[in-house]
Amino acid sequence: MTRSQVHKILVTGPVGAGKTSAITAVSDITPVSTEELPSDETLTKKSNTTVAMDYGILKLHDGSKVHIYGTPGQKRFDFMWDILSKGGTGLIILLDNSKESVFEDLKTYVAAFAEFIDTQQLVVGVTRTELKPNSGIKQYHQFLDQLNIRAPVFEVDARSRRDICFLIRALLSSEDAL
Amino acid sequence: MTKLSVGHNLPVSVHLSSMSETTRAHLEYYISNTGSPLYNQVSKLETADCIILDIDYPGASNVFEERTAQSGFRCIFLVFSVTEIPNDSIVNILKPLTLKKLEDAAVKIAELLQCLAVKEATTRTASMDAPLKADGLGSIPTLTVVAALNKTTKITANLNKSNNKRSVYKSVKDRSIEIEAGTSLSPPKNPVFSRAAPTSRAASKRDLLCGSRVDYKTPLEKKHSPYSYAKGQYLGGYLAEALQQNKNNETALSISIPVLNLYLYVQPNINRIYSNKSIKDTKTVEQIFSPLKADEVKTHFFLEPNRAQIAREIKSDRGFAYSLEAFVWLSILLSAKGRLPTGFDPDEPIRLKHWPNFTRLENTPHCFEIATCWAQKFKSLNDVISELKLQASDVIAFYNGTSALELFEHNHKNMVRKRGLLDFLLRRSTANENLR
Repeated sequence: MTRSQVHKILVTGPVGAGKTSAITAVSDITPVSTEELPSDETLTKKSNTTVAMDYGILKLHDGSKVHIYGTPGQKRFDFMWDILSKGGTGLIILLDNSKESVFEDLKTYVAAFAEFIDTQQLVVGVTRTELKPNSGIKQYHQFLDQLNIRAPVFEVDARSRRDICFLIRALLSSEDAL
Repeated sequence: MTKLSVGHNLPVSVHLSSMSETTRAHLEYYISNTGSPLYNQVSKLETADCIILDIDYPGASNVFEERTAQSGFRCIFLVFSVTEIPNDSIVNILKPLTLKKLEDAAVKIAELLQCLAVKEATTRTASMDAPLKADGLGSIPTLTVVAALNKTTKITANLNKSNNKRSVYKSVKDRSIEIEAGTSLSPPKNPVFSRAAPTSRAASKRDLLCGSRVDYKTPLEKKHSPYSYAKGQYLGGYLAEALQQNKNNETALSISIPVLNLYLYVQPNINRIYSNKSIKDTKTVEQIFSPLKADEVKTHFFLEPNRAQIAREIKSDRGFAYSLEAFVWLSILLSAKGRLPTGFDPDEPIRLKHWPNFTRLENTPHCFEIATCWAQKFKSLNDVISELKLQASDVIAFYNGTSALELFEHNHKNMVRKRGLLDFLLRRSTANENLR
């Protein structure tokens, strides 16, 4: 299995899904983050929010590197999504399972990155599954079927390096298969 | 190894093992400065009282397993993790790492070492005339096969979401399904078909999930007994069938096996299964993943949640909760052990509809490669084995678990349409009308 030396992966998702935590968990360098105090309703959810991007690097055993870019979650920064996605080879959408609007969020991000998903790989990570008992990943499968999208879906803890590495591994495996 | 002596105090000798460069740099700086009264870093593993590792770092689990597998190994592990790992020889620090947590951990490690020193001294004194037993630090570490079904959380069964009454279960802690590598789950081995004994815990885990017999000859044929297994005779099969019957309702159901004193209560709507017995218990695992007779298994579908009955059947103070999906997956793997279900056609093209939830399921060997291959297009089992050049039992184990979760789809275009009597009459009737 051959790999390119450099991979660029984008991590996106709604506010509070765990994007910054995920990149922090997996980065082999001190991640670059651009967090500030929120000025809108996000303040009720968390004390900091990403205003530009997060950045980290994961070094693989074969010497290649994965550059990981995290997008800001707030809608008003969505102009960054297009900028960050240029040159990307894979997309991770992180979703907060405890939110009532989780499926609306999935639909929103799938639509926003539709062109990217058509040509590159997508993996979905679902965080906070322990906070809201439901029927598991099955419902996410069903929703993706409705959107006619095939992508791996994993339950993850955004703080867990192992879980986030699984997401990246699934992306890279699919990428190699192309 | 460091000779333990009664009265062992700080600083603790530590060896930094598997972790990222960033974490290592931070720890080295801490130990050489403010942490110096508590920790003393040593470069040689053999001279360390404690090994520090980040369990989420790639390869860390293997390091842990290899060290603890060494004969006569005695050491404490200071483990950075997201959730607590219950083990007598582990001191946990839950992420994120803080100075306070490191300070507290140092004290715990020193206390643990003190206890070990006393125990060792007592053992030496008590067994002067008897040969010394190789006594480990506690229970055999069970990180070898950790299903990681769910993190340890308090689970409150919400039987009726619209009802504000207190649920039946006060709090049932999730238990990881952990199977000890040395568990003898397979029937007495036929020496003709057995491979050599596993030399590592990774190999033991593989034998547990994929079987230890000599691998199938490929390409596989549809008739491949005695290597096939009748899925319907095992707990995993009964459970899968019950869930299939209950698919449209998703109400609760129970499965009881009185001869084993095993009672399972299933809530598909919240992906939970509750057992009155712990799956950590080796004897329980051996019993419940062996073939069962049909009259030994009783299934009951609840039309409405019956709290009183549920409370009687599964007492909350002894209840063990697991992820239903992970329980089904693991039970099928442990029952099948790399064998194909009877009647399965290894040349039938199938495709992976959705990936298994690998972060919460016990990973079979090469599961990522197999999933990638099977997600692309319709392929048969024989196609995947030949394309990836893997052992047949590895691919079969993946197939068994994934099909139990109904994650495969069949190629309906290639399926010959079965014509029943009604269809025949309809076509005949249509043809007759056209002639008029």
